[in-house]
Amino acid sequence: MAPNDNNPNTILSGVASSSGIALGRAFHVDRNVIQVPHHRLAPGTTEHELERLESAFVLSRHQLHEARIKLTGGDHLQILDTHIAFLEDPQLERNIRAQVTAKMINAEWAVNEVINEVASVFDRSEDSYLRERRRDFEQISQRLLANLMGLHQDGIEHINEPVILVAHDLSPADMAHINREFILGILTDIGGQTSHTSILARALEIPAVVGLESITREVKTGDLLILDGFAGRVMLNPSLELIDEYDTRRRYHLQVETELRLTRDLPTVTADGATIQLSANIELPSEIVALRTNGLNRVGLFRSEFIFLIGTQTPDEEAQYHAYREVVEGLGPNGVTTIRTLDLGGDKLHHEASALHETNPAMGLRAIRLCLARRDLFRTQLRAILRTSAHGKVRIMFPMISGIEELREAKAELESMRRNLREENIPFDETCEVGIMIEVPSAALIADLLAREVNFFSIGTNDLIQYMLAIDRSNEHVNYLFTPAHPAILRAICSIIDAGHHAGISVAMCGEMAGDPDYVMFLVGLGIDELSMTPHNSLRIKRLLSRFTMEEARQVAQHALTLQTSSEVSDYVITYVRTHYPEEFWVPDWCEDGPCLTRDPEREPMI
Amino acid sequence: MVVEKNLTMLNRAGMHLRPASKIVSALRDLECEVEITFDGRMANAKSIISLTQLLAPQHSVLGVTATGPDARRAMMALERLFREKFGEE
Repeated sequence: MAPNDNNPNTILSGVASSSGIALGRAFHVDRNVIQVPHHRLAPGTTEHELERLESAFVLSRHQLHEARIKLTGGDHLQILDTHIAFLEDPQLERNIRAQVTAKMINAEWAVNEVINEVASVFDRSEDSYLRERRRDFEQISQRLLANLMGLHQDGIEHINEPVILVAHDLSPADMAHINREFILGILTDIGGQTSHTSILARALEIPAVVGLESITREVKTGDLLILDGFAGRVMLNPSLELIDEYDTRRRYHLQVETELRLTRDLPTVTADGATIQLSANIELPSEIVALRTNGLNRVGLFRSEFIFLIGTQTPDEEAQYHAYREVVEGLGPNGVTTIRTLDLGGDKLHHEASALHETNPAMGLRAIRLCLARRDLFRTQLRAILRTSAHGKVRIMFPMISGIEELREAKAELESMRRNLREENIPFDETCEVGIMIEVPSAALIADLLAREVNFFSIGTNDLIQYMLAIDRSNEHVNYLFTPAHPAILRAICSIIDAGHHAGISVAMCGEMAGDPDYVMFLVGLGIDELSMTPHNSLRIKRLLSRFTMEEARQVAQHALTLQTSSEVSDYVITYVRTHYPEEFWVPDWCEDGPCLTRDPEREPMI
Repeated sequence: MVVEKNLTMLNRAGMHLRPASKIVSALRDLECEVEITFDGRMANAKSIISLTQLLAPQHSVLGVTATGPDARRAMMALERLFREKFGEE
């Protein structure tokens, strides 16, 4: 078996994909290739074998239909539909039955033979894309085999005690079966930060480490494990001391969570009662679970491109409409969903755009530029978004606007889609608001002009900083210069907010800076109306906001604007908030970057 | 009625299970037989398995023959699927 089977304190490192600590026993989700039994049938048992085969087909279809109900929209649904369609092809079952009868072989053998034969032509293809599609056949064949052999492929749904799931990879169907009550954590061999498993684990707030490469070989069901989702580490067969230590950490995090949850249903107001809107940045509809657990009902930034990136297929109008609608309806009647139109190109892959081989993709054909070059994509998306607005408050946001002409052209497309929908008698919200991201320096400088043509602004600090300071954040030689504390950035933010307010429109921020506790006072002091961030930061920001008054925040902001260097700014802003509200920033020394408690647990007993 | 046409695989991944299942579901309720030929192989367009055995990569040109009362409708549905790259890239 595994080489490190009984080796205490073996540590494996992977990608920290969902934060939290879990201690518990492993449950090995066996997705290893099933060893197919081969035997000849005894005379007179063929009928029985054909019945077994028939039940395996029925059960497999049933499982897929069940999993299908739990998923909504997108590429994964299409994969399941394909699997169902394949299992429903009469030729498949006929061929397998013929093998059983003619060769007198067991059903497993016949299933394996027939599907392998069908799939094997793909190995011969010289086209790598086509070769990769063999995986679909393997998944179907594994399901049939598991059902024939009683292997409980969908065992996850039957788990009724707390365990840490260990798997090579988890399929969308697997993830649909995850029950938060019993699944303490998730560990997989493959995957990264943005893989489907990671996104869903974060949404469900289940600690996870992915990309561990060999976890399925090192661990078997029943092994004791510690999962550290902050550091991306797994400790196998831990010592008692280590268990104690991590149990302390686990309870600490639990206490942080519990304490923060107390503020969940409170309004977001400063100490003197000024309201600041908090909202979430999301990538997939499944993340709305995390909004609810954090008491949010606004999406300040729906990065619509992710539904284009998760699969091999470009989603059509219906698929997009369903994805957007899922978010809008998930937020309830008072929800607000800000959908950013396609922000593809640049660093993100897109077959057609990347085919251009741009030398400077960050300044190339991306976002609104790509949409105006590919009107078909743009129109489809605008129609899908408009249709969604019939189901709740939706706001449309154009990314990377650099000038008035671009904005007008985008709005003209929107207007023509509105006309189309009216002609087709398809309902949509006529008052649906239109806004833009302010993330290009030219837009920041003409914010006063742009403000007259839109209903809202949202400042995208990540790109704004990159473009204003001419710093490629992924370039390790210069990224030390990347900071929101540069006086030019502060001035830009200040003038964008002023320009927006002067024109009577609201100004939001959706870059990383918006969720940074060190800068919240400064932003509020400048008059920001809405802060959009990853849902998990929001409760902490809400509590911090409730501690200071608008007047105090204004003074901090005004003073920061008078400083001359980045380090003067960051020293002042960060020191101010941390020394005036130290309880909001206290963390134990082992917790480098995690959330914090309002109290030192040393002084007060933990729950 | 017999309708014949050449259709080109435009999607990147070629003829794999997913396009095949879309073809089958588009033709399911139509009264006609549809044969697709490529590289000396012939497939019944109403069978997923049969379609996947064509092993047609991107840019391949498939010969499509629809026979029966619904032949024209079948061809229109297929043309649309091929043109829209089966909803893929």
